[in-house]
Amino acid sequence: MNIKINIQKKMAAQKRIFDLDIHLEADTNRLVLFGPSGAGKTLTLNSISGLLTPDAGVIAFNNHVLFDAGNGINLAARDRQIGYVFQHYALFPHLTVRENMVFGLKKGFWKRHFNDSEKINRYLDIFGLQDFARCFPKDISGGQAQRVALARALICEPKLLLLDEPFSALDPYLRNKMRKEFQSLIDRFDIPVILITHDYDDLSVFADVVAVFEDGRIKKQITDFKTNKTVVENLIAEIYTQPETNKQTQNQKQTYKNEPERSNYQKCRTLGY
Amino acid sequence: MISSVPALFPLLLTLKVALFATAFAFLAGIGFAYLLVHKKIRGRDLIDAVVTLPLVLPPTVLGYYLLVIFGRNGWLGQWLDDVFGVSLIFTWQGAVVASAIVSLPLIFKSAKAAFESVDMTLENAARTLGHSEVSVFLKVSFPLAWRGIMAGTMLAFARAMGEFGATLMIAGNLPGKTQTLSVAVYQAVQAGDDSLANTLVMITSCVSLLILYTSGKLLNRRQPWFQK
Repeated sequence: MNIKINIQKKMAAQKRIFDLDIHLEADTNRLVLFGPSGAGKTLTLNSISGLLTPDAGVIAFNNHVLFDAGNGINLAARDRQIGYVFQHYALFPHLTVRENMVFGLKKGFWKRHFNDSEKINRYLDIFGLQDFARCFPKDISGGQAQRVALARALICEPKLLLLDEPFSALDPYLRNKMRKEFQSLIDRFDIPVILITHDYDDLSVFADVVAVFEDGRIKKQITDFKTNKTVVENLIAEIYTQPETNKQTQNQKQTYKNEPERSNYQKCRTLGY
Repeated sequence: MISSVPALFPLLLTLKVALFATAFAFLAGIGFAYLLVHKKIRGRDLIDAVVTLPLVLPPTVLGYYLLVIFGRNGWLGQWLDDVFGVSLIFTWQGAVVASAIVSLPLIFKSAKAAFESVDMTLENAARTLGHSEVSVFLKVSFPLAWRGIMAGTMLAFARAMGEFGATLMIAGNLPGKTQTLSVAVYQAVQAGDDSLANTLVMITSCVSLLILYTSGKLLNRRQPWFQK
């Protein structure tokens, strides 16, 4: 896929002004937006999906313009055909797993029954959800909820899939398992992905191009992550150990000053990223 | 027992008025609540205050406003008379308008709180899944806010059943035409007809209790009926 993002947005909340200014162009099927919380990653993803309208700029996907402030183009979220898996999955609590999955397929209020049950059953099988089809979201585990969210997005056959920190709500063991599962599912559907994370482990599994975010801007864009791992690691260490970050981080910085032999990757791990 | 016959008309009229009034207040209350929660309208605080006003204003003040607006010389009353040849004054439809306005804030307030408590991410998820705004409302926001809205509707119905002041001012006290239960009780007491007053009071209390009890029971079910 080819994606061009060139947007500006000013957000004001409780006297704090956040300035989002993103310039990004990538030719890859695996784009990872990496950076600390509050750096503007989710805002960028929301802009791509059409949930947030930037003040100015252009967003184009495969030369198809989704948003262009100058020419007054702003496709509604429902017309963009972009799948979105939210951070906490956003499953509809009043619908069963099966109804959640069908949600994107039956859009009229009057059609109470969707008749392509063959397709739903196929997806339930692929995602291993057949046994939970009649359960409500509160009755299934985090890993299952995540699969439902992914299935719900993919069953609509979107052109692009957005994942907002898909593994952050899971415990570490499940996280590793789900990463592998996700990778094989995404490969199977052969769909371009933009993934947000602040977990270094996600990078090594998913990344091809990495955009490192800091303070509403892209600090650096690294094409071909696999051959540039050290560059990314250095960048991350730099971002997470800057003096203006909180005290706790500074203390941790002190700790590993005494252990210079550790790699940047380990530094990141120590800091919990 | 003889007095139960004159009590029948006020009872039926009261139920009819309360039903229509609640229906109008339901639609208007939900509409205002949804707009104020989801659209950044200018002066939303003012709209909020105006819609809530009937909750704190004395019913007689409301009745006076209604007379001014819907009376023969009122701007809306004159228009209704010119275009449709109808007048709301001294009719049961007038009582419906009075009760609807008095019970509107109860639905509005609970619906607004209920819509505010619906996770916006869920509504956004529906949008990314290709649903229109109407569909998002009907399939996500409304079902998730249903409990709060129904609780408010229940209160609104109870309030409409007991409406007295504004109703008396706009619909008057015409036995067999606009005399609702609460007005009938007032008249019976004024006329010294204690047995009629007793019957009316008992009927009002029992019917109100029955309605509140059943709707409370329905509301406490985990799943709303339309999701079964």
